[in-house]
Amino acid sequence: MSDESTTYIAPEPKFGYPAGPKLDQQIKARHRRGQFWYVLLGASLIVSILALIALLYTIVNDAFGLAAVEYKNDPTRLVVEQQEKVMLADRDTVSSEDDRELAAGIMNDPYAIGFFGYAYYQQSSDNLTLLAVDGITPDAGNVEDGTYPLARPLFLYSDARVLENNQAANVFINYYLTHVNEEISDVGYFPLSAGRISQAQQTWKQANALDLPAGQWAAINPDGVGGSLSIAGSSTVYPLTQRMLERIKADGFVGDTSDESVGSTAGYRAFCVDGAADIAAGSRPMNQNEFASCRKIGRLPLEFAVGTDALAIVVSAQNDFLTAVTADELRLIFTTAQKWSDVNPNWPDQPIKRFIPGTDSGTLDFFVETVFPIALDELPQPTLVSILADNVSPGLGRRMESEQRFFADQLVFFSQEQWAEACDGATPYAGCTLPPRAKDSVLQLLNENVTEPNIVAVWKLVPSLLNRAAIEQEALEKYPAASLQFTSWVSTAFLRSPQSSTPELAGVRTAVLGSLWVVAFTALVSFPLGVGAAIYLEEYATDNRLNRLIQTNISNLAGVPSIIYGMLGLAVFVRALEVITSGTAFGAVAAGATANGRTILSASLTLALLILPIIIISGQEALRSVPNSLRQGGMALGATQWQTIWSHVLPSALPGILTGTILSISRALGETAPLVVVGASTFITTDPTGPFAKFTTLPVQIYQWTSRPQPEFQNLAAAAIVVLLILLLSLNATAVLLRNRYARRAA
Amino acid sequence: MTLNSYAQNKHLAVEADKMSVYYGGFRAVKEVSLQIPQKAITALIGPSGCGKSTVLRSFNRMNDLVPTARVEGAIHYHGNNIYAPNVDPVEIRRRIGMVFQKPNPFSKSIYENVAWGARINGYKGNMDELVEASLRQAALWDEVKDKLAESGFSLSGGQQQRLCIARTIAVKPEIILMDEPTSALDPVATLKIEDLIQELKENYTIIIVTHNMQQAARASDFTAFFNMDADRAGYLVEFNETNEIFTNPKHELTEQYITGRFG
Amino acid sequence: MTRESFARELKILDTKILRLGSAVEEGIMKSAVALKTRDLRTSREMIDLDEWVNQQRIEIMMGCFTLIATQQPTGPDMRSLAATLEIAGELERIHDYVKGIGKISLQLDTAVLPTAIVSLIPDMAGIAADMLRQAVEAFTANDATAARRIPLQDDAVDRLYSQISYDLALIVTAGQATYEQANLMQWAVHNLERAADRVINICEWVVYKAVGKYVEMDSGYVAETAVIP
Repeated sequence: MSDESTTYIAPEPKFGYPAGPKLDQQIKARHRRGQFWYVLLGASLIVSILALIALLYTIVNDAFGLAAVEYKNDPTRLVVEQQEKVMLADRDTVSSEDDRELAAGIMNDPYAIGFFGYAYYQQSSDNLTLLAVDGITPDAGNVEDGTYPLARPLFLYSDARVLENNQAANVFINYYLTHVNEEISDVGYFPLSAGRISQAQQTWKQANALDLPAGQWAAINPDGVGGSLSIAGSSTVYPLTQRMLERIKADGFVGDTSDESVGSTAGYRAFCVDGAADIAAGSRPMNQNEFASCRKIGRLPLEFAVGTDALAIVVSAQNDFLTAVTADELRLIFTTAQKWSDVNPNWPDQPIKRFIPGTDSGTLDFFVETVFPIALDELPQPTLVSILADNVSPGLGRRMESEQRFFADQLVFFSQEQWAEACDGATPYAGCTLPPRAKDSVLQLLNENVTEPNIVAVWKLVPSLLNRAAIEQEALEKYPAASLQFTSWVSTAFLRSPQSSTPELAGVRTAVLGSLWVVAFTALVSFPLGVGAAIYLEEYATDNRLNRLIQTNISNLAGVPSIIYGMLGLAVFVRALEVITSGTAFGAVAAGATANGRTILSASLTLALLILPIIIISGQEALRSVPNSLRQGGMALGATQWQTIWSHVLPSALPGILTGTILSISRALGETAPLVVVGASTFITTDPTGPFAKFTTLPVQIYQWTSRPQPEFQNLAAAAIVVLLILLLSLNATAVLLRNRYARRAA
Repeated sequence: MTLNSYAQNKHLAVEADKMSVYYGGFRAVKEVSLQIPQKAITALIGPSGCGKSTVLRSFNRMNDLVPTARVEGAIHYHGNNIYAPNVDPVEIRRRIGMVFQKPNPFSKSIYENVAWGARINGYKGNMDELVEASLRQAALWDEVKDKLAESGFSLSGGQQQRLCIARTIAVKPEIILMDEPTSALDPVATLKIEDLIQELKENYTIIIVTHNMQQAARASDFTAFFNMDADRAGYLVEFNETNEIFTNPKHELTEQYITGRFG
Repeated sequence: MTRESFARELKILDTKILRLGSAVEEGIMKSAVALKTRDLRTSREMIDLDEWVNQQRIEIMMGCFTLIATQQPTGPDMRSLAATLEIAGELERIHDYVKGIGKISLQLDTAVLPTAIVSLIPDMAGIAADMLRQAVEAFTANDATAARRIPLQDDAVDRLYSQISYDLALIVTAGQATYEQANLMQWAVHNLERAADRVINICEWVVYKAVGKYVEMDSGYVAETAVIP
């Protein structure tokens, strides 16, 4: 330490204290000691924060993530099929896979309406009127950018190994990607942007292992190329492919070609399942199931976008009342409406003649998927019921209906006579008196009996986010039939559903309700008892040996392991006081109640005992912090001791008392061991109905789920922990709010 | 000590007769006999631990709140011993109010601070008038009349102490005990309280404990000087008119104390 | 207004000074007139009044002491109490002069004195009494300016004093009075002159009370500050 760098305020040594450089050293040494502790304290804080983060990480990691779900019946398909069925069922509806037939049918009838690929509209545009949908008439701009609601991409699919082995197919796709934009407008579709074409070309280059820079294209001259080429698929893509075939043949291609217009779905089936087609043409992207089927036969589909189609909604040129429709009107026109005037009173009172493509056509699927809602839970209850009716056996359906009927005024599975007989009989069905099922209930039945989701694999949140591509690959290989979904295990369904042995269907409603019941009764019992005891001990008890003994024991009780309270609860409340805790003494054994003592009441009393010492101690603490001057001030005015306590001491101590109480109730909410001993039910699906009901609580539920071997239950446990944490946090937030409110009032 | 000439002309408000106070086995105050004149200010002074506060608290049985406290001898109030077994301390405290060292308003509104004591004591008259009159007497009305609904804690220290005086006045006591009422206040607030006490002696008997000798000199009519003897029990050394005590003390200890030569 | 009781006590002391002051002022005039008119009864009354004056002074003194002991006066309050103490003393001593004149009057008994001289004595007493009245008024009004102006009037007293002394010498030489009588007269006049001087002391304390500075107001001061408006 040099003299230049240090300024000494008092340089001379005085009175035996260090001075000069020594003073400097001494002060620095003292600071160092302080810093040591500062760092130590900071480190411990960091460690605890890290521990918290690790805890949250584990929970969140398990509560969310990708899941591979196999459906017995794909819900999207169910919806689409249902809608298509409704549309096709009408006797005024003409359905054909041949769009030309449809166009011809519409032309001659002023009350006809239909839809098909834009190309067919162009072929007969003189005799047809193109309708604007939601105010947008299709043209190149709004189709390419997707603002026209019924625009869709057109694809070719093939496989790298197919292209390698089948030169004709390889050259044809190369030729297609080279010249499609020159022909497409003429065929009646909309050309792709240069970017999307070059993306498709990139795919082809990769399949041929050509290492060309982006933007550079290797067009192959088809002159003299031969072989056999089989194309199957969408009737929409068909005219375009036909045009390309004509052109490639004109350019010297000599191969045998077959091109079948069978619809996208059939085309994909031919490519992925049978392996008969070399190229599949589609008017919708291949879905995951189809993709998975391809993998099964060793094909990895390559996607080549070749154009965009807009679905044309057309009426006859003779039609004089329709130039535009909305999506809502479309839904009505193609489903329930019988006459034009049903849709819009300004339209003529004439039956609607519908001309629609058949079910093999991608066009119909596309129309349904675009115009109608496709999620099951977006459908109205009657539609759900009819899906259910189509997909379950009559026996199962009758059982469902007997438990609770679907409609108030109509029977689905029973005949009127059967129903009336059963309801008038000795053992009427529950459904005879219950109100009809709500939509949720029907959805649940669909879930359990029709779609039957089966989670075949789960991934944690972090890999799901960071490593999605690898997971998709893995899922395709291992679980080809499953669809990969991002799953939040915490969901409204999870909160609403009762316990179930199927992880996909299990929920926490029973447990949450049980927890709330138990905690409410616990608070009801322990708060007045605890606060009363605290007031007695703090305000009235004299300092004698007995009171000291009581005080010491209360402090000790606060440290007794909770399981011991469980033993106590079992012995006293469940066994000895069974008459009371089971409710038999009050004659209150209603539905859902049990005749033994393992009830909400027993659990609440046990937990109340468990947290009583904590409430007493925190209450005493709060009362002790009330300044004595307040008591004296009250007494000096001639108030009695109780008046003083009631008017001044308690209001001042209330924030502290409430905080202590709510924190201890939080503890009760999180307790497992004593409840397991007292006898929380391990598996219960009925909601608790009162103090004498069987019950389970969230922590018990979590404990049971974590001990199950299936990995999905770990996710459920994590989700239940999230629910428990939210409950706890809201309870603590209430405590903070209450405390602030009372503290502000006291200030 | 016998009744002096000055006090003979005045009526007595309360009288301690050979009163001793014990805390457990410890005798804190030894055989104090003190005659407090009516409608005058009597100051109790003395060194720390001389038992002056204990004596003050004995007058309205506030010592009962200390579990181990015990009083021997008697305090005569209207001819009755307030320590007689059939006397309810609640009644004594309603007639002999008390103001404390630190202002201790209730955590209620200003209005409620004053009204509460009256209400619990069964006051049947017009509460608004009582509150206003009490606050006026405590020289606080003008400062708080527009914010009666605000918390008592929103006031300054001196205002809080006057609020405590107002709530004491509201129950119409005969005697007001003040235990170092200005020790937590600044000089200006202190002087205001002293003036207020001067006004109050028109209607109330006031007994004030103060560690501030000058305050006793300034603000009181009579002064009692207490001291602590060898076994740390407090006893009364001298009781006289304040002017006499401060210009011509009779007892050597008093003289030493007031001239600052004590101890 | 804080410390109201203290302010009240100070006011009472002021009133006492005022009462004592006017009694002494009246004494100066009465004793001089009694000397002139040979009113022995009044002269005797003036002598007897001294006991009351002394008592008043002690009362004022004790009042000051009590306030000092109990009220811890500071600043203007302290100056006021100091001035009150001193002024009460000055007034008591002025009355001693009055008492002296009364005694001289009794000693002269029935002697007949030359009219020219005896009529000048009340004139002198008049000026001194007037100065005292003004001084006491300045005290109660706490008026330093007025107090500063009062000593200027002392010259007239001094002039009359010189003239009367000179006249007395002439009278003795002319045999119009005995040497003893002239000597007594000389004492009486001297008493009046001293009384006026003590009024100046009072003024000094009034100034001190009002502005907190003690200024000697002897003849030199008078010359220097004669221009005070």
